[in-house]
Amino acid sequence: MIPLEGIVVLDCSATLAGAMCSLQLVDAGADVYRIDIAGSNPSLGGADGNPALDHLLHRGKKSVALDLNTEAGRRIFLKMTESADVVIEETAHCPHVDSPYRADTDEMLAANPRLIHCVIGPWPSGSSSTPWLTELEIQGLAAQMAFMGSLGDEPVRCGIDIGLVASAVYASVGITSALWAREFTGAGQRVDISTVSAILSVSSHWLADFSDPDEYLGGNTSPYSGPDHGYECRDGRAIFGFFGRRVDRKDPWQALCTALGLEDLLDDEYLREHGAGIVGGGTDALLWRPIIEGRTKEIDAEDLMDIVQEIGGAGAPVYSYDQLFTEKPHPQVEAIGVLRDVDAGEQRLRGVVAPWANDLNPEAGQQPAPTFGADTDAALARFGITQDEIDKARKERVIP
Amino acid sequence: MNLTHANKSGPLSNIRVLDLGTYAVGPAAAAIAGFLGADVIRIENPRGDGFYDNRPQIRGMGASFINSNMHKRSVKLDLKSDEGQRKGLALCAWADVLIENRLPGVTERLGLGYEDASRANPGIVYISSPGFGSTGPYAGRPALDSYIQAFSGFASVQGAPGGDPEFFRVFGHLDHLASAIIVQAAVLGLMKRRKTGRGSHIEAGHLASAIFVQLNRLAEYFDTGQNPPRLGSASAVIAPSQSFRCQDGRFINISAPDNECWKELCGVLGLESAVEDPRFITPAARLAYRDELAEIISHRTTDAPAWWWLLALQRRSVPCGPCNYPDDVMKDPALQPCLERPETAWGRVWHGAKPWQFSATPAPPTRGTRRPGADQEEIEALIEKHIGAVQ
Repeated sequence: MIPLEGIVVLDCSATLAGAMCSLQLVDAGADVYRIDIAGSNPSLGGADGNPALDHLLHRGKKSVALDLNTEAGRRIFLKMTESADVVIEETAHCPHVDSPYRADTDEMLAANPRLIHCVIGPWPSGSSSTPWLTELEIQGLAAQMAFMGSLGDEPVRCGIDIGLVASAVYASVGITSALWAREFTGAGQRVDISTVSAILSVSSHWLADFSDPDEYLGGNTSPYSGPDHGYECRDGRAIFGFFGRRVDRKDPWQALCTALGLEDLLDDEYLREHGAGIVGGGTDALLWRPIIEGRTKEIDAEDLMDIVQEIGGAGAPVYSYDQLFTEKPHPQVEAIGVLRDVDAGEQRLRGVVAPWANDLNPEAGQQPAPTFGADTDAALARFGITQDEIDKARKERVIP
Repeated sequence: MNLTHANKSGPLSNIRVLDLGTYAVGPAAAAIAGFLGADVIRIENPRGDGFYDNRPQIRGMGASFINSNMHKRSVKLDLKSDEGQRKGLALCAWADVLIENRLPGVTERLGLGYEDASRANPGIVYISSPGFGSTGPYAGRPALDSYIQAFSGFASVQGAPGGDPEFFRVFGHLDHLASAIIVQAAVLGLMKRRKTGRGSHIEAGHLASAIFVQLNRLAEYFDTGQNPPRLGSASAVIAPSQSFRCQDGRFINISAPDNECWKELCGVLGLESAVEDPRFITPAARLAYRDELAEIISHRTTDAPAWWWLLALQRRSVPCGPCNYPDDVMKDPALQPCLERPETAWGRVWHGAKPWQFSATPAPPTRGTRRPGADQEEIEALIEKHIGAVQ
């Protein structure tokens, strides 16, 4: 029994946010139909298409080619919404990229009161701020660059599209929650997702950190500390530290000093008692790092992790993708079972399933991504569009 | 469970969640369920949580603890005692969902593993979020956000061009994304229970979440076989889309995701001749000549201060914005709808606003974090009501 089996989703989105949101619904068992126009982004098989990206984002979905910027295209789409459960849409993150068409929630819900209309946009609904933001501007507004790089130098952004990704995850949570509520109320609704609120929600740690001015530069919150590259080891880098209550961190800290030949540090009374705080991340750790690194750079990262584990600390090596996701993945990545390889024509493509998929839908990740428009006719027929209407739409280039 | 759905208190208002979590991932997941209307009870270890001691502190409590434990009631139970375990099981009988992110085997040792919990309540949806996973060579190791940044490859795709992998210095992105993913797993588990009548044990781990959220960078690696480059402020898919220094020393972000934006940008910068430059004529070409493009643009942006460029670019609908500092975020009127500052036991604390707006089942106002054990009496009474199920 797969949770969202039988749920029908129409995905009109144009960015990573909507695509990743509907991908999670695919893994939960929903039937997701992408409404694609040529050149949509992330593209499906376009001139600059990237089959690896298509597969990662669109596997298991169906592609319906339909131009929503035409009257006939909109009529067909509205007919489709009558028997759908969810419509996913994005308002412009950029003035020219997205389709200017906006589905009308009231119109759709009048014909199908059980519909859930999820709209992902930069700002909360009703807020009048400028909508023209890509991932970079969203990161800038949410002060993400204040926690990377060095003050005054060229800014450094968060390496993944954290704003769009957070929107995707929250949108998928919002849709799933609205589907749950519908089981009891019988009614659909509109769910608006704000990307700026989403990125600030995943940034709540530093928002809390800055809530007390006395501690403004405390802990690991200082924007004035330099970039954190972890600890240099003989063969790479690693990060490590201690956990539990402060009193629980003292013994492992002293054991670490002994294990690394840094007993001298324990001669200092403050460091003997509270030295655990100078390891790991944060301003103090960055200040003391050269001393600790003097030892760690003589040890391989994996061996250092064994030492750290042995003395009751914890940590991890800094891995790059070619240490994790090769043909034969890292044994820990293999163990959690999130990678799925699929034969698609002559290519072997790799997908990543939702973290809960192994327990909720073991079959997830076995379908390839569609090619652009591959499912148009079958899908439109399924939504009750007649062959005559389909032929007419194709002749008028409503179906490109 | 209560099947009458209270419309005005969030889409999950008929769900009861038991929080057995520690640090961020589990507790913040339970908090998110609370934001969506769920009734959440947190079991607090009388010895306290590691987060109590994290710096910075706010009036004697770790800011991270306050942040991760909004919108729940709190009871202290010593789960190492028989009595505490029995009370814990009574709360399992009360709950629809249990969320835990302990090391594999810990909840079993506390008598609150899935087998124990489902004996007390066969319908329970039990979510485990082991940091590195429940099997494999790293399974027994504790995971904090920074370790997952390192291990998952997240740190390796960010940093200055040509420099070393870099950590995001305030840890929490990967924590919070894992937390939200847990909430989805919980609701999906409940939907499954509606159809099968049975609860289930679902794993949604921190490392698994961290890999899943890197899809767009993984695409670069799967496409080329090369590690995605660290690009400073630049985007891997749009050019220009990076930070530029202005005359006043401030940086602004500018992006031109399509040809229209590019044309408008050139107009603002006085670079009309660049529009037809074959190196920059298509989005793909601009991406290929990203460095040359950045050089040309940065020669212009230093001619005027940041505020002037932002005004000029906004008028022409070119995506742009400031490189804010944290205090800018708290002061900018445009950002206030995206922020909350709920009253907690330690004063008012900033938090991101809920990212959802539900038209029919609006989420309830956030209740700020309470002191550990603040609801002891009330919950002990609740435990009394359910203790019969576990005798």
